Amino acid sequence: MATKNKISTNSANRRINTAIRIFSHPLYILIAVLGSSAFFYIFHYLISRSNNGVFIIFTPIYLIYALVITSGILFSISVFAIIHSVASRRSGVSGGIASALLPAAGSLIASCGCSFSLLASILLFLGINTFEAAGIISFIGSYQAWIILAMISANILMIIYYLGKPFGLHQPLRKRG
Amino acid sequence: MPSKTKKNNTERSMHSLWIVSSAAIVLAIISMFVAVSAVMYAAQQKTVQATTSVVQPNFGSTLAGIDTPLNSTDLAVINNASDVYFQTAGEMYLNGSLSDPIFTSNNKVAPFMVNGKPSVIYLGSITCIFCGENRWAMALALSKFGKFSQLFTGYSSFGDGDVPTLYWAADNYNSSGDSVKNYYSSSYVNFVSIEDINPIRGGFLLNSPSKIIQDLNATENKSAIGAFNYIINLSAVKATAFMGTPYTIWGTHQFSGADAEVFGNTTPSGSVIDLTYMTHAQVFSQLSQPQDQFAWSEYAAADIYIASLCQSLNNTVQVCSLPAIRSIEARIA
Repeated sequence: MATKNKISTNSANRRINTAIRIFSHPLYILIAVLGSSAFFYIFHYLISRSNNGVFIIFTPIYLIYALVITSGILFSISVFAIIHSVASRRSGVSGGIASALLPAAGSLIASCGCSFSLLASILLFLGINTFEAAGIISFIGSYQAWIILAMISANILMIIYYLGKPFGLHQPLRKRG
Repeated sequence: MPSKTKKNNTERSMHSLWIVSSAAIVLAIISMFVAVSAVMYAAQQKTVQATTSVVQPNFGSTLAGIDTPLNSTDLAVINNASDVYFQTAGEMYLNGSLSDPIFTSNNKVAPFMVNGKPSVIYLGSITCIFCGENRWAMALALSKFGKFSQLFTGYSSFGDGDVPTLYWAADNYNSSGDSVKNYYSSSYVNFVSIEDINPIRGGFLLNSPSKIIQDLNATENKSAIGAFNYIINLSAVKATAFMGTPYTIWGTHQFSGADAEVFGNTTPSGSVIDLTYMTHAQVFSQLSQPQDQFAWSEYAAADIYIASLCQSLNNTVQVCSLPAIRSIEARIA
């Protein structure tokens, strides 16, 4: 038990240390900020396009902010992984893709479920009759907030997961002197 | 050795400084985000309160007077709206004076004929905010081709703006079903209304096509059953496919979605919707003597529908002679 506790404490410490080492560099803070801004712009654009130019949402805006901020952080960690670690490059790419896709997916459901023109276009492209899917789409729309909360949770879990990856940062500080 | 220790300490201090600075920058940016949105929200709230004379309590969760038949005065606002209002609004739309989005994009379809008359077909939901705001324009447009003997006060769902609207009939807003009842009569067109119904205290919800068909079959309303099958057939083609509510057909013109987004006297940005804070009395007051963005935009949205029907009826109705309607017909063609 004591060993188990020690391992989990070490794991948490390692993740915290990794986060500190990544975000102590201004570049990765900048990437996170720019990423969050870009994701919010994509979200805003998709919602407005779905509603004929009007940005109207029925999900609390603070959930949207949390989604784009966690996506921005995940994106920054992914960029770090791609740059710094060959071993973690693939997971860095997948993390980066996920960080961009989640806010975009959120925009498809955050507005009124009654106007699902973007989603309908995608379904039609896939050969699915939107009339048949209308009931499902509206059902998804009625759980907007919960779905976005799940997306935020997914971002956080991925951040925690990727921070545990060996980016070559976990060598102990060399004793000097 | 001492110099190396001193160097390590300096490095660690710089490291700590970076960490603190980074954290401060992140917090500052998040705070800025929150502050800007709070300011924007407050500004919108202020604008909303400035444009509505009375702010009622519990807006966003009110069903005050739902399903109440309109009194004769309010019904007259719809049935007896002056042609001058439609003409003026049309001119404003044509010269770009209106800031609300108003659209003419539509698809040409074969008319749905019942008893030798073309039809206006409406498929919508009482839970839907876009249906809610569009029924005002629809009612105004239909009033130029016939009359409503009854209309009812209604709301969109709590999760969809809770905007004040009209219902075509006194719908059971606590259950799930489909209503085809309306109190419209015209010698020029049929009005086939298919109103999907789900609990109004939830969010937007649309019944599945099989459920709708089941409900329509139970009504034994052949016009409604035929109209719904017509919509299903049109949905096999991408251009006219059902992509959300409201879905309307005005003679030979099919509209996917509302033809305008008129949500009060300010254009919504985010979750603050001016129309949510209006009472039905305020809406009727504005429509009876249009002077503001909301009223003019609703009349202009009605003009689009009027022009569609006029084209379908070869301009045989008096309202079709209005110059603005003629000009709009050229746009929707």
